Amino acid sequence: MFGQGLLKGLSVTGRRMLGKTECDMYPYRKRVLPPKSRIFLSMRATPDGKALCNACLTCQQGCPDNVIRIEQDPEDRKRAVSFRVNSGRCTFCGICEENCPRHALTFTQDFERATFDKGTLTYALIADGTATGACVIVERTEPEHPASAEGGEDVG
Amino acid sequence: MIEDHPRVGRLQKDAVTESIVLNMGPQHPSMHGVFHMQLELSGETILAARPVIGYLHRGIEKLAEHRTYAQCMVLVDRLDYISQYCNEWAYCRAIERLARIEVPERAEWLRTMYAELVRVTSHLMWFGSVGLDLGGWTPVIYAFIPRERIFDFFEATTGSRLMPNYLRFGGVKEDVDPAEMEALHAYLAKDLIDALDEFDGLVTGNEIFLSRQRGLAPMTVDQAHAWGVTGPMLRACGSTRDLRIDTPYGVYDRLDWESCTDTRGDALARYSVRMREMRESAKMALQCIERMPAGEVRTKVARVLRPPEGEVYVRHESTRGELGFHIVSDGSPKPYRFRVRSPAFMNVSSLPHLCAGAKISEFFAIFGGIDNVMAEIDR
Ligand code: SF4
Ligand code: SF4
Repeated sequence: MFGQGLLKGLSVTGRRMLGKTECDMYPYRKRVLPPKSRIFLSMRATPDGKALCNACLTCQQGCPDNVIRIEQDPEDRKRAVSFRVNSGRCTFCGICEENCPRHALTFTQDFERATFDKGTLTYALIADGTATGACVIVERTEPEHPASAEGGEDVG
Repeated sequence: MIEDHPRVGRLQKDAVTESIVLNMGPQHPSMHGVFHMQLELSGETILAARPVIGYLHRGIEKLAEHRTYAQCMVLVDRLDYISQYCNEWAYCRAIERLARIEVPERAEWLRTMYAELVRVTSHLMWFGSVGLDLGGWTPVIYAFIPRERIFDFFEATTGSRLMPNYLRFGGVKEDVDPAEMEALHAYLAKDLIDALDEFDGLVTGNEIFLSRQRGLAPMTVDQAHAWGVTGPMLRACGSTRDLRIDTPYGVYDRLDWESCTDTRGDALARYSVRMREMRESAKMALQCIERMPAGEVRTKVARVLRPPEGEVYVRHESTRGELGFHIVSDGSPKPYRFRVRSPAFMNVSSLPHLCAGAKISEFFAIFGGIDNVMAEIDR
Protein backbone atom coordinates (compact mmCIF):
# COMPACT_ATOMS: atom_id res chain seq x y z
CA MET A 1 0.00 0.00 0.00
CA PHE A 2 1.36 3.41 -0.88
CA GLY A 3 2.20 5.41 2.19
CA GLN A 4 3.09 2.50 4.40
CA GLY A 5 6.79 3.33 4.24
CA LEU A 6 6.07 6.98 4.95
CA LEU A 7 4.06 6.07 8.02
CA LYS A 8 6.83 3.79 9.23
CA GLY A 9 9.32 6.63 8.86
CA LEU A 10 7.02 8.89 10.82
CA SER A 11 6.76 6.37 13.60
CA VAL A 12 10.58 6.25 13.78
CA THR A 13 10.82 10.01 14.20
CA GLY A 14 7.96 9.95 16.67
CA ARG A 15 9.72 7.38 18.83
CA ARG A 16 12.93 9.39 18.73
CA MET A 17 11.09 12.55 19.67
CA LEU A 18 9.86 10.95 22.87
CA GLY A 19 13.15 9.22 23.59
CA LYS A 20 16.20 10.59 25.33
CA THR A 21 18.22 13.55 24.03
CA GLU A 22 21.43 12.65 22.27
CA CYS A 23 23.14 16.04 22.28
CA ASP A 24 26.10 17.17 24.34
CA MET A 25 24.87 20.24 26.17
CA TYR A 26 28.08 22.15 25.63
CA PRO A 27 29.02 24.71 27.02
CA TYR A 28 26.63 24.10 29.92
CA ARG A 29 28.02 20.66 30.44
CA LYS A 30 31.62 20.16 29.44
CA ARG A 31 32.68 16.87 28.04
CA VAL A 32 35.52 15.02 29.76
CA LEU A 33 37.81 13.69 27.07
CA PRO A 34 39.53 10.31 27.40
CA PRO A 35 43.10 10.51 28.71
CA LYS A 36 44.55 9.51 25.34
CA SER A 37 42.98 12.47 23.53
CA ARG A 38 45.57 14.62 21.85
CA ILE A 39 44.66 18.26 22.28
CA PHE A 40 47.41 20.70 23.37
CA LEU A 41 51.00 19.76 23.86
CA SER A 42 52.35 19.95 27.37
CA MET A 43 55.39 18.80 29.26
CA ARG A 44 55.95 16.91 32.47
CA ALA A 45 57.87 18.76 35.13
CA THR A 46 58.86 18.08 38.72
CA PRO A 47 57.29 20.16 41.52
CA ASP A 48 60.45 22.26 41.79
CA GLY A 49 60.02 23.52 38.21
CA LYS A 50 62.42 21.19 36.43
CA ALA A 51 61.12 19.95 33.08
CA LEU A 52 61.87 16.32 32.17
CA CYS A 53 63.18 17.35 28.75
CA ASN A 54 66.89 16.92 28.13
CA ALA A 55 66.95 18.86 24.86
CA CYS A 56 67.70 15.89 22.64
CA LEU A 57 65.77 17.58 19.79
CA THR A 58 64.06 14.35 18.70
CA CYS A 59 60.65 15.98 18.84
CA GLN A 60 61.72 19.10 16.96
CA GLN A 61 63.22 17.06 14.15
CA GLY A 62 60.42 14.53 13.96
CA CYS A 63 57.58 17.04 13.90
CA PRO A 64 56.07 17.24 10.41
CA ASP A 65 55.00 20.86 10.81
CA ASN A 66 57.84 22.70 12.58
CA VAL A 67 55.70 23.31 15.63
CA ILE A 68 58.43 22.92 18.23
CA ARG A 69 61.34 25.30 18.71
CA ILE A 70 63.97 24.32 21.26
CA GLU A 71 66.94 26.38 22.32
CA GLN A 72 69.73 24.39 23.92
CA ASP A 73 71.90 25.76 26.65
CA PRO A 74 75.31 26.40 24.96
CA GLU A 75 77.14 25.33 28.12
CA ASP A 76 75.08 22.26 28.91
CA ARG A 77 73.62 20.74 25.76
CA LYS A 78 71.40 18.48 27.84
CA ARG A 79 69.41 21.41 29.09
CA ALA A 80 66.79 23.37 27.20
CA VAL A 81 66.73 27.11 27.76
CA SER A 82 63.48 27.55 25.93
CA PHE A 83 60.90 25.24 24.47
CA ARG A 84 58.21 26.94 22.43
CA VAL A 85 55.17 25.38 20.80
CA ASN A 86 53.34 27.06 17.93
CA SER A 87 50.08 25.20 18.41
CA GLY A 88 48.49 27.02 15.46
CA ARG A 89 50.56 24.83 13.16
CA CYS A 90 50.18 21.62 15.13
CA THR A 91 48.26 18.77 13.52
CA PHE A 92 47.96 16.86 16.81
CA CYS A 93 49.54 13.83 15.22
CA GLY A 94 51.29 12.69 18.39
CA ILE A 95 54.62 11.84 16.73
CA CYS A 96 56.55 14.06 19.15
CA GLU A 97 55.01 12.48 22.22
CA GLU A 98 55.53 8.96 20.92
CA ASN A 99 59.21 9.47 20.14
CA CYS A 100 60.30 11.42 23.20
CA PRO A 101 62.92 9.20 24.87
CA ARG A 102 62.42 10.91 28.26
CA HIS A 103 58.64 10.58 28.08
CA ALA A 104 58.59 14.28 28.81
CA LEU A 105 55.87 15.30 26.39
CA THR A 106 52.20 14.72 27.03
CA PHE A 107 48.90 16.06 25.77
CA THR A 108 46.35 17.92 27.83
CA GLN A 109 42.65 17.36 27.28
CA ASP A 110 41.86 21.05 27.53
CA PHE A 111 40.18 21.99 24.27
CA GLU A 112 38.92 25.49 25.06
CA ARG A 113 41.69 27.63 23.67
CA ALA A 114 39.95 29.39 20.79
CA THR A 115 41.33 32.86 20.30
CA PHE A 116 41.00 35.92 18.10
CA ASP A 117 44.73 36.57 18.15
CA LYS A 118 46.84 33.93 16.53
CA GLY A 119 49.95 35.16 18.33
CA THR A 120 48.55 33.74 21.56
CA LEU A 121 48.63 30.25 20.03
CA THR A 122 52.38 30.14 20.54
CA TYR A 123 53.24 29.29 24.11
CA ALA A 124 56.34 28.30 26.02
CA LEU A 125 56.76 25.08 27.95
CA ILE A 126 60.26 26.00 29.11
CA ALA A 127 61.37 29.60 29.47
CA ASP A 128 64.73 30.71 30.89
CA GLY A 129 65.51 27.10 31.69
CA THR A 130 62.53 26.52 33.98
CA ALA A 131 59.20 24.88 33.35
CA THR A 132 56.33 27.30 32.81
CA GLY A 133 52.76 27.13 34.05
CA ALA A 134 51.76 25.24 30.89
CA CYS A 135 53.59 22.15 32.16
CA VAL A 136 52.06 19.25 34.04
CA ILE A 137 53.54 18.56 37.44
CA VAL A 138 54.54 14.95 38.13
CA GLU A 139 56.41 13.41 41.02
CA ARG A 140 58.48 11.01 38.95
CA THR A 141 61.73 12.14 37.38
CA GLU A 142 62.91 8.98 35.65
CA PRO A 143 61.70 8.14 32.15
CA GLU A 144 58.79 5.77 32.23
CA HIS A 145 58.81 3.96 28.94
CA PRO A 146 62.19 2.89 27.70
CA ALA A 147 60.50 1.37 24.63
CA SER A 148 60.83 4.50 22.58
CA ALA A 149 64.33 5.24 23.78
CA GLU A 150 65.96 3.01 21.21
CA GLY A 151 67.98 4.94 18.74
CA GLY A 152 66.80 6.64 15.64
CA GLU A 153 68.70 8.92 13.39
CA ASP A 154 68.15 12.53 12.75
CA VAL A 155 67.00 13.97 9.48
CA GLY A 156 67.24 17.61 8.68
CA MET B 1 3.27 16.75 -22.09
CA ILE B 2 2.80 20.47 -21.72
CA GLU B 3 2.99 20.92 -25.50
CA ASP B 4 -0.18 18.91 -25.95
CA HIS B 5 -2.18 21.17 -23.73
CA PRO B 6 -4.83 22.99 -25.79
CA ARG B 7 -3.91 26.36 -24.35
CA VAL B 8 -0.29 26.11 -25.42
CA GLY B 9 -0.27 27.72 -28.84
CA ARG B 10 1.59 26.54 -31.89
CA LEU B 11 4.21 29.16 -31.35
CA GLN B 12 5.34 27.79 -28.00
CA LYS B 13 5.24 24.24 -29.26
CA ASP B 14 7.96 24.92 -31.80
CA ALA B 15 9.87 27.32 -29.63
CA VAL B 16 13.50 26.46 -29.01
CA THR B 17 15.02 27.80 -25.84
CA GLU B 18 18.63 28.71 -25.66
CA SER B 19 20.67 26.46 -23.42
CA ILE B 20 22.04 28.10 -20.30
CA VAL B 21 25.05 27.27 -18.17
CA LEU B 22 24.39 26.94 -14.48
CA ASN B 23 27.26 26.90 -12.04
CA MET B 24 26.50 24.68 -9.08
CA GLY B 25 29.04 25.02 -6.35
CA PRO B 26 31.74 25.29 -5.19
CA GLN B 27 29.72 26.86 -2.41
CA HIS B 28 26.29 25.53 -3.13
CA PRO B 29 24.53 24.45 0.04
CA SER B 30 23.83 20.98 -1.33
CA MET B 31 27.33 20.37 -2.60
CA HIS B 32 29.56 17.89 -0.83
CA GLY B 33 32.63 19.90 -0.05
CA VAL B 34 33.98 22.41 -2.51
CA PHE B 35 32.86 20.67 -5.66
CA HIS B 36 31.89 22.75 -8.66
CA MET B 37 29.60 21.45 -11.36
CA GLN B 38 28.90 23.31 -14.56
CA LEU B 39 25.55 22.22 -15.91
CA GLU B 40 24.41 23.05 -19.39
CA LEU B 41 20.65 23.15 -19.25
CA SER B 42 17.84 23.26 -21.70
CA GLY B 43 14.95 24.22 -19.49
CA GLU B 44 15.28 21.74 -16.67
CA THR B 45 17.04 19.03 -18.63
CA ILE B 46 20.77 18.59 -18.25
CA LEU B 47 22.44 18.54 -21.66
CA ALA B 48 25.98 18.30 -20.41
CA ALA B 49 27.73 18.34 -17.07
CA ARG B 50 31.32 19.28 -16.38
CA PRO B 51 32.86 18.65 -12.97
CA VAL B 52 35.35 21.35 -12.03
CA ILE B 53 37.73 20.22 -9.33
CA GLY B 54 40.82 21.53 -7.63
CA TYR B 55 39.42 23.90 -5.01
CA LEU B 56 40.82 21.76 -2.21
CA HIS B 57 44.16 21.06 -3.81
CA ARG B 58 46.81 21.07 -1.12
CA GLY B 59 49.58 19.44 -3.08
CA ILE B 60 49.71 16.42 -0.82
CA GLU B 61 51.65 14.32 -3.33
CA LYS B 62 54.34 16.98 -3.55
CA LEU B 63 54.36 17.70 0.17
CA ALA B 64 54.98 14.02 0.80
CA GLU B 65 58.24 14.18 -1.14
CA HIS B 66 59.60 16.52 1.52
CA ARG B 67 58.68 14.43 4.52
CA THR B 68 59.96 11.23 5.99
CA TYR B 69 57.88 8.11 5.50
CA ALA B 70 56.51 8.26 9.04
CA GLN B 71 55.59 11.93 8.67
CA CYS B 72 53.66 11.15 5.48
CA MET B 73 51.17 9.20 7.57
CA VAL B 74 49.83 12.53 8.79
CA LEU B 75 49.15 13.56 5.19
CA VAL B 76 47.62 10.22 4.32
CA ASP B 77 45.04 10.75 7.07
CA ARG B 78 44.02 13.94 5.36
CA LEU B 79 43.48 12.42 1.94
CA ASP B 80 40.11 10.89 2.54
CA TYR B 81 39.32 12.09 6.01
CA ILE B 82 36.17 9.98 6.17
CA SER B 83 37.97 6.65 5.84
CA GLN B 84 41.26 7.43 7.55
CA TYR B 85 42.16 3.90 8.65
CA CYS B 86 41.75 2.54 5.13
CA ASN B 87 44.15 5.16 3.80
CA GLU B 88 46.68 4.52 6.52
CA TRP B 89 46.47 0.81 6.00
CA ALA B 90 46.95 1.05 2.25
CA TYR B 91 49.96 3.30 2.75
CA CYS B 92 51.42 1.01 5.42
CA ARG B 93 50.99 -2.00 3.16
CA ALA B 94 52.85 -0.20 0.40
CA ILE B 95 55.79 0.68 2.63
CA GLU B 96 55.80 -2.73 4.29
CA ARG B 97 56.01 -4.42 0.92
CA LEU B 98 58.75 -2.06 -0.16
CA ALA B 99 60.85 -2.47 2.99
CA ARG B 100 59.82 -6.12 3.62
CA ILE B 101 58.45 -5.55 7.09
CA GLU B 102 56.50 -8.29 8.83
CA VAL B 103 53.27 -7.43 10.61
CA PRO B 104 52.34 -9.33 13.80
CA GLU B 105 49.14 -11.35 13.76
CA ARG B 106 47.25 -9.28 16.29
CA ALA B 107 48.04 -6.09 14.43
CA GLU B 108 46.44 -7.50 11.28
CA TRP B 109 43.27 -8.23 13.22
CA LEU B 110 43.28 -4.77 14.75
CA ARG B 111 43.78 -3.16 11.36
CA THR B 112 40.92 -5.13 9.87
CA MET B 113 38.69 -4.17 12.76
CA TYR B 114 39.46 -0.46 12.45
CA ALA B 115 39.07 -0.52 8.68
CA GLU B 116 35.64 -2.11 8.92
CA LEU B 117 34.57 0.26 11.68
CA VAL B 118 35.59 3.20 9.56
CA ARG B 119 33.67 1.75 6.65
CA VAL B 120 30.58 1.85 8.84
CA THR B 121 31.18 5.47 9.85
CA SER B 122 31.94 6.48 6.28
CA HIS B 123 28.76 4.89 4.96
CA LEU B 124 26.82 6.49 7.81
CA MET B 125 28.11 9.86 6.68
CA TRP B 126 27.07 9.02 3.13
CA PHE B 127 23.65 7.89 4.31
CA GLY B 128 23.13 11.20 6.06
CA SER B 129 24.20 13.24 3.08
CA VAL B 130 21.97 11.27 0.71
CA GLY B 131 19.08 12.27 2.93
CA LEU B 132 20.22 15.89 2.82
CA ASP B 133 20.58 15.80 -0.95
CA LEU B 134 17.02 14.64 -1.32
CA GLY B 135 15.74 17.34 1.00
CA GLY B 136 15.39 15.52 4.32
CA TRP B 137 17.17 16.73 7.41
CA THR B 138 16.33 13.78 9.61
CA PRO B 139 18.71 11.09 8.26
CA VAL B 140 21.85 13.14 8.74
CA ILE B 141 21.04 13.88 12.36
CA TYR B 142 20.20 10.25 13.05
CA ALA B 143 23.23 8.91 11.21
CA PHE B 144 25.54 10.96 13.37
CA ILE B 145 24.40 9.26 16.56
CA PRO B 146 26.02 5.85 15.86
CA ARG B 147 28.85 7.59 14.01
CA GLU B 148 29.71 9.62 17.09
CA ARG B 149 29.59 6.53 19.26
CA ILE B 150 32.15 4.77 17.08
CA PHE B 151 34.25 7.94 17.04
CA ASP B 152 34.21 7.88 20.83
CA PHE B 153 35.84 4.48 20.60
CA PHE B 154 38.43 5.84 18.15
CA GLU B 155 39.19 8.73 20.44
CA ALA B 156 39.54 6.60 23.55
CA THR B 157 41.85 4.10 21.86
CA THR B 158 43.86 6.10 19.33
CA GLY B 159 43.72 9.63 20.74
CA SER B 160 41.84 11.30 17.93
CA ARG B 161 38.39 11.15 16.44
CA LEU B 162 39.21 11.99 12.85
CA MET B 163 42.97 12.04 12.29
CA PRO B 164 44.20 9.05 14.27
CA ASN B 165 47.76 8.53 12.94
CA TYR B 166 47.38 5.10 14.50
CA LEU B 167 48.86 2.60 12.06
CA ARG B 168 52.62 2.16 11.97
CA PHE B 169 54.91 0.35 9.60
CA GLY B 170 54.92 -3.14 11.05
CA GLY B 171 51.79 -2.92 13.16
CA VAL B 172 49.76 -0.36 15.02
CA LYS B 173 50.75 2.29 17.53
CA GLU B 174 49.48 0.55 20.64
CA ASP B 175 47.15 -2.15 21.81
CA VAL B 176 43.52 -1.49 22.62
CA ASP B 177 42.22 -1.52 26.17
CA PRO B 178 40.13 -4.71 26.61
CA ALA B 179 37.40 -2.78 28.45
CA GLU B 180 36.96 -0.46 25.46
CA MET B 181 36.83 -3.45 23.17
CA GLU B 182 34.15 -5.09 25.28
CA ALA B 183 32.02 -1.94 25.31
CA LEU B 184 32.37 -1.66 21.55
CA HIS B 185 31.38 -5.28 21.11
CA ALA B 186 28.20 -4.72 23.10
CA TYR B 187 27.45 -1.64 21.04
CA LEU B 188 28.03 -3.27 17.66
CA ALA B 189 26.08 -6.39 18.52
CA LYS B 190 22.90 -4.60 19.49
CA ASP B 191 22.66 -0.82 19.31
CA LEU B 192 24.27 -0.38 15.92
CA ILE B 193 22.05 -3.01 14.36
CA ASP B 194 19.03 -1.34 15.96
CA ALA B 195 20.14 1.98 14.52
CA LEU B 196 20.56 0.48 11.04
CA ASP B 197 17.10 -1.08 11.30
CA GLU B 198 15.82 2.33 12.27
CA PHE B 199 17.43 3.91 9.19
CA ASP B 200 15.86 1.26 7.01
CA GLY B 201 12.49 2.12 8.51
CA LEU B 202 13.14 5.80 8.05
CA VAL B 203 14.36 5.89 4.46
CA THR B 204 14.63 2.53 2.70
CA GLY B 205 10.90 1.89 2.55
CA ASN B 206 9.94 5.51 1.97
CA GLU B 207 7.86 5.64 -1.22
CA ILE B 208 8.98 9.13 -2.19
CA PHE B 209 12.61 8.12 -1.79
CA LEU B 210 12.08 4.94 -3.80
CA SER B 211 10.35 6.71 -6.66
CA ARG B 212 13.15 9.25 -6.86
CA GLN B 213 15.91 6.63 -6.87
CA ARG B 214 14.52 3.68 -8.80
CA GLY B 215 15.80 3.46 -12.36
CA LEU B 216 17.76 6.67 -11.98
CA ALA B 217 21.11 7.01 -13.77
CA PRO B 218 21.61 3.37 -14.69
CA MET B 219 25.11 2.10 -15.36
CA THR B 220 26.24 -1.22 -16.80
CA VAL B 221 29.32 -3.15 -15.75
CA ASP B 222 31.04 -2.39 -19.06
CA GLN B 223 30.40 1.31 -18.65
CA ALA B 224 31.66 1.18 -15.08
CA HIS B 225 34.86 -0.53 -16.17
CA ALA B 226 35.33 1.95 -19.01
CA TRP B 227 34.96 4.90 -16.63
CA GLY B 228 37.21 3.38 -13.98
CA VAL B 229 34.43 3.16 -11.41
CA THR B 230 35.20 0.91 -8.44
CA GLY B 231 33.90 0.04 -5.02
CA PRO B 232 30.22 -0.02 -4.03
CA MET B 233 29.30 1.81 -7.25
CA LEU B 234 30.78 -0.99 -9.32
CA ARG B 235 29.28 -3.71 -7.19
CA ALA B 236 25.87 -2.08 -7.65
CA CYS B 237 26.06 -2.89 -11.39
CA GLY B 238 26.38 -6.60 -10.78
CA SER B 239 30.15 -6.93 -10.64
CA THR B 240 31.61 -8.99 -7.81
CA ARG B 241 34.88 -7.07 -7.80
CA ASP B 242 36.04 -6.62 -4.23
CA LEU B 243 39.73 -6.39 -3.50
CA ARG B 244 39.16 -7.76 -0.02
CA ILE B 245 38.29 -11.04 -1.74
CA ASP B 246 40.26 -10.83 -4.98
CA THR B 247 43.60 -9.88 -3.47
CA PRO B 248 43.15 -10.82 0.17
CA TYR B 249 44.99 -8.83 2.79
CA GLY B 250 44.57 -8.42 6.51
CA VAL B 251 42.45 -11.25 7.88
CA TYR B 252 39.56 -10.95 5.44
CA ASP B 253 40.07 -14.48 4.17
CA ARG B 254 39.55 -15.81 7.68
CA LEU B 255 36.33 -13.95 8.40
CA ASP B 256 32.85 -15.10 7.62
CA TRP B 257 31.31 -12.43 5.41
CA GLU B 258 30.13 -11.78 1.90
CA SER B 259 30.61 -8.97 -0.53
CA CYS B 260 27.38 -7.05 -1.22
CA THR B 261 26.31 -6.76 -4.82
CA ASP B 262 23.25 -5.71 -6.74
CA THR B 263 22.37 -6.20 -10.38
CA ARG B 264 20.16 -3.20 -11.06
CA GLY B 265 22.91 -0.64 -11.55
CA ASP B 266 20.72 2.35 -10.73
CA ALA B 267 20.85 4.85 -7.89
CA LEU B 268 18.71 2.60 -5.71
CA ALA B 269 21.15 -0.27 -6.20
CA ARG B 270 24.04 1.94 -5.08
CA TYR B 271 22.01 2.84 -2.02
CA SER B 272 21.15 -0.73 -1.16
CA VAL B 273 24.72 -1.99 -1.62
CA ARG B 274 26.06 0.55 0.86
CA MET B 275 23.28 -0.07 3.34
CA ARG B 276 24.03 -3.80 3.33
CA GLU B 277 27.77 -3.18 3.47
CA MET B 278 27.36 -1.42 6.80
CA ARG B 279 25.84 -4.57 8.30
CA GLU B 280 28.56 -6.76 6.81
CA SER B 281 31.25 -4.46 8.16
CA ALA B 282 29.72 -4.44 11.62
CA LYS B 283 29.61 -8.23 11.44
CA MET B 284 33.27 -8.38 10.49
CA ALA B 285 34.31 -5.99 13.24
CA LEU B 286 32.43 -8.17 15.72
CA GLN B 287 34.21 -11.28 14.52
CA CYS B 288 37.53 -9.48 14.82
CA ILE B 289 36.84 -8.58 18.44
CA GLU B 290 35.77 -12.12 19.25
CA ARG B 291 38.55 -13.99 17.51
CA MET B 292 41.51 -11.66 17.86
CA PRO B 293 44.53 -13.56 19.22
CA ALA B 294 46.72 -12.06 21.93
CA GLY B 295 50.26 -11.02 21.19
CA GLU B 296 52.51 -8.29 19.90
CA VAL B 297 51.01 -5.42 17.93
CA ARG B 298 54.14 -3.88 16.53
CA THR B 299 57.46 -5.02 15.14
CA LYS B 300 60.53 -2.90 15.74
CA VAL B 301 61.24 -0.64 12.80
CA ALA B 302 63.85 2.11 12.62
CA ARG B 303 62.35 5.46 13.53
CA VAL B 304 63.62 6.98 10.32
CA LEU B 305 62.91 4.34 7.76
CA ARG B 306 65.02 4.01 4.61
CA PRO B 307 63.33 1.52 2.31
CA PRO B 308 65.56 0.00 -0.37
CA GLU B 309 65.52 1.51 -3.83
CA GLY B 310 62.53 0.44 -5.86
CA GLU B 311 58.89 1.08 -6.43
CA VAL B 312 55.67 -0.47 -5.31
CA TYR B 313 51.98 -0.22 -6.13
CA VAL B 314 49.41 -1.43 -3.63
CA ARG B 315 45.68 -1.69 -4.24
CA HIS B 316 43.32 -1.49 -1.35
CA GLU B 317 39.56 -1.69 -1.01
CA SER B 318 38.80 1.63 0.61
CA THR B 319 35.25 2.64 1.45
CA ARG B 320 34.84 4.30 -1.94
CA GLY B 321 36.64 1.79 -4.11
CA GLU B 322 40.12 0.92 -5.18
CA LEU B 323 42.65 3.07 -3.41
CA GLY B 324 46.14 2.76 -4.80
CA PHE B 325 49.49 3.96 -3.54
CA HIS B 326 52.42 4.10 -5.93
CA ILE B 327 55.59 4.84 -4.02
CA VAL B 328 59.01 5.20 -5.59
CA SER B 329 61.95 5.04 -3.22
CA ASP B 330 65.50 6.11 -3.98
CA GLY B 331 66.82 4.73 -0.71
CA SER B 332 66.58 8.04 1.15
CA PRO B 333 64.32 8.65 4.17
CA LYS B 334 61.84 10.53 1.99
CA PRO B 335 59.74 9.15 -0.87
CA TYR B 336 61.03 10.05 -4.31
CA ARG B 337 57.52 9.94 -5.74
CA PHE B 338 54.27 9.55 -3.90
CA ARG B 339 51.25 8.97 -6.09
CA VAL B 340 47.69 8.22 -5.05
CA ARG B 341 45.06 6.54 -7.16
CA SER B 342 41.95 7.96 -5.66
CA PRO B 343 38.69 6.03 -6.02
CA ALA B 344 36.50 9.10 -5.54
CA PHE B 345 38.22 10.89 -8.42
CA MET B 346 37.44 8.05 -10.79
CA ASN B 347 33.89 7.69 -9.53
CA VAL B 348 33.16 11.38 -9.93
CA SER B 349 34.40 11.18 -13.51
CA SER B 350 31.35 9.10 -14.31
CA LEU B 351 29.06 11.93 -13.25
CA PRO B 352 28.84 13.69 -16.68
CA HIS B 353 27.71 10.42 -18.28
CA LEU B 354 25.22 9.67 -15.54
CA CYS B 355 23.70 13.15 -15.52
CA ALA B 356 23.23 13.67 -19.24
CA GLY B 357 19.52 13.79 -19.96
CA ALA B 358 18.45 13.88 -16.33
CA LYS B 359 16.41 16.67 -14.78
CA ILE B 360 18.08 19.20 -12.58
CA SER B 361 16.17 17.97 -9.54
CA GLU B 362 17.59 14.51 -10.16
CA PHE B 363 21.13 15.77 -10.20
CA PHE B 364 21.62 15.62 -6.45
CA ALA B 365 19.89 12.28 -6.25
CA ILE B 366 22.56 10.95 -8.64
CA PHE B 367 25.38 12.87 -7.01
CA GLY B 368 24.58 11.50 -3.57
CA GLY B 369 25.10 7.94 -4.78
CA ILE B 370 28.66 8.71 -5.82
CA ASP B 371 29.80 9.48 -2.28
CA ASN B 372 32.74 11.66 -3.14
CA VAL B 373 35.22 13.27 -0.78
CA MET B 374 36.81 16.35 -2.25
CA ALA B 375 39.91 16.11 -0.09
CA GLU B 376 40.80 12.88 -1.83
CA ILE B 377 39.85 14.03 -5.32
CA ASP B 378 41.88 17.24 -5.21
CA ARG B 379 44.59 15.93 -2.88
S1 SF4 C 1 62.07 14.54 22.50
FE1 SF4 C 1 61.57 14.82 24.67
S2 SF4 C 1 63.55 15.00 25.69
FE2 SF4 C 1 63.93 15.26 23.48
S3 SF4 C 1 63.83 17.50 23.19
FE3 SF4 C 1 61.77 16.72 22.81
S4 SF4 C 1 60.74 16.90 24.78
FE4 SF4 C 1 62.91 17.08 25.18
S1 SF4 D 1 51.58 16.63 17.65
FE1 SF4 D 1 52.57 16.40 15.63
S2 SF4 D 1 52.43 18.42 14.71
FE2 SF4 D 1 52.00 18.70 16.88
S3 SF4 D 1 53.99 19.21 17.80
FE3 SF4 D 1 53.76 16.99 17.96
S4 SF4 D 1 54.76 16.17 16.14
FE4 SF4 D 1 54.39 18.34 15.77
